[in-house]
Amino acid sequence: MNRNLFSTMRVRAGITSVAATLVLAALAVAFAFPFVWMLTAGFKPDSAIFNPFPLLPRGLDGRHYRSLLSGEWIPYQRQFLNSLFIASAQTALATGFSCAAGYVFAKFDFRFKRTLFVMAVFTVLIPRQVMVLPLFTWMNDLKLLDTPWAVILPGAATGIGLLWFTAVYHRLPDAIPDMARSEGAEEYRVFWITLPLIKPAIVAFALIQFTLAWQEHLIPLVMLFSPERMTINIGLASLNAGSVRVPYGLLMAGCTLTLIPTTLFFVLAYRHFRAALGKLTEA
Amino acid sequence: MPRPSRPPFLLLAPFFAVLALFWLVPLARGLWISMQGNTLFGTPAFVGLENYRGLLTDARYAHALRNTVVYCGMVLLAVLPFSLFLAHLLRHVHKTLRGFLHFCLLLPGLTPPLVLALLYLLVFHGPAGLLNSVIVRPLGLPGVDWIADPRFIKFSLVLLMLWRWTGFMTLIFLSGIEGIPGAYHDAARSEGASAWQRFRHVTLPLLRPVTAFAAAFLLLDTFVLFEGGYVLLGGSGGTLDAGLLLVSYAYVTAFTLGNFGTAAAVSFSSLPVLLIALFAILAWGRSRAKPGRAA
Repeated sequence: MNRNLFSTMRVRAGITSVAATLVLAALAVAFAFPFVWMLTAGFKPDSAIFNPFPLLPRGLDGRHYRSLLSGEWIPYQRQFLNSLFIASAQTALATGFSCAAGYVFAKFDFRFKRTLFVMAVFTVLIPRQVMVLPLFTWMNDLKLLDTPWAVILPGAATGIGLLWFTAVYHRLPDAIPDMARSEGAEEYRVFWITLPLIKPAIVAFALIQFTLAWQEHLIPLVMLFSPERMTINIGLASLNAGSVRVPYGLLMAGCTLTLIPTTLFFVLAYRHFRAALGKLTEA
Repeated sequence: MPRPSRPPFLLLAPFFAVLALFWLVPLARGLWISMQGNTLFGTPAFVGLENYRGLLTDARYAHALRNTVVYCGMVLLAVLPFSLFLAHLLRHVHKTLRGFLHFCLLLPGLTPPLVLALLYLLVFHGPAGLLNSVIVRPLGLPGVDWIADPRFIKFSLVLLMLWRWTGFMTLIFLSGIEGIPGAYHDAARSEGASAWQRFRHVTLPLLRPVTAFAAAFLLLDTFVLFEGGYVLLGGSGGTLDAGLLLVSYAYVTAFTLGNFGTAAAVSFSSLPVLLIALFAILAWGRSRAKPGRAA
């Protein structure tokens, strides 16, 4: 009897598993198909791009990539490096600053802490895209327009980051910092010692922050105007809007390459990401 | 416990320096600009709340505000339950396939929205696009112009966000579900709770902080999504302004029309709505629902 019940359950679990796999596979195809098309379009002659089939190009035609990287349309390599620099700097600053602030808010008591915290979070949660106009005139006064700092500095603090790291440090037991203290470490050293303990949370947050910084459009669009200072998104958008005949093969080649940094970062950080997020529900 | 006499306040300094310089200053300046006339050159006159009064009778503004609220609501209601569902499905998929399938879903989240908008235009949209040739035509319906037909513009924007964020949100939910201690489910099961009851009374309440985090994150990104509307609709609000959102309206008012005063007023008037919504979401996430209690 019992064995029967057990095998029925196993059959049911098997059916569920097959059904779930089929649904997800269909969705995965729908979600990922445009990317396959984009990848192959970069290797097709312009005349063949808009026929999705045959999907695979005849042979690898590297013409679009060569012309893209030679910089005859847009200074692609330069813009790619600009994007990398801006996104990395923004990620490093935003992660470091919110981590340090989150530590103090989670681990210490001082007067007006609650008020200060709520005010800080709800100020920085205001998206900078909403303040783009005053930011623009302010950067103009600071003589930072058309420099990477006009994009990096307004991204150096995040409300989500402060919430995230305060929650993470709330969960960190006091025993470890206290042990360091009893051995005579001064307070800044204690903070330093806690960092390896929350490594998954740091990596997870950096991943989110880098992805968002890499994808940013409105702020760089407003702040940067020389082609060799632009980020890659703005460069590609100018390619799409600026020319009479849009070079689609080249554009798709350029779009394909923008996926590399975030994908690489994601694959490397996936494990940490899962570990840090799982902790949010643990009692 | 050796408590230090003074918290290390210097650790707060960088964060609050950025907050002061790049939030408080622009906010104050924006407020000031929003009370100035719309002159581009010379010294603009102080007009007080005139720009805000002007918005009350501005039909396009009302339209943009309504569009933004409807669109944000639609995105939250579409993406969150869908991702939660997919997270459950993923748990039933064999390990070897799970990573690959999830990566396919995540790919759009790793892509700049500009690229997504271009791909949406080139692959999904258009008479021969996938939406028409795979979904609409087989149902025996005439093809739809997804970005020119005002009835479908908002749907296109929501679809773009669904495509962009479903993978990430699924990842967040999946990690959250796996963080729930198995003992809760065992206890519920031993009391004869069905799978649905366990989901309703164990998983959902325990996921509340995760759900709130996901919702706040999604709302912020949805609210400021500019590239989507800007590229899809060519910098306008689309036909009959059906896709006009507050962020693009402020951008066009400021940088295309040069009406700085009005543009700042547009941005500022939208802030209370956004902040109240965020506050509500985060407060809901902090109120702890006890597992097993019908909430």
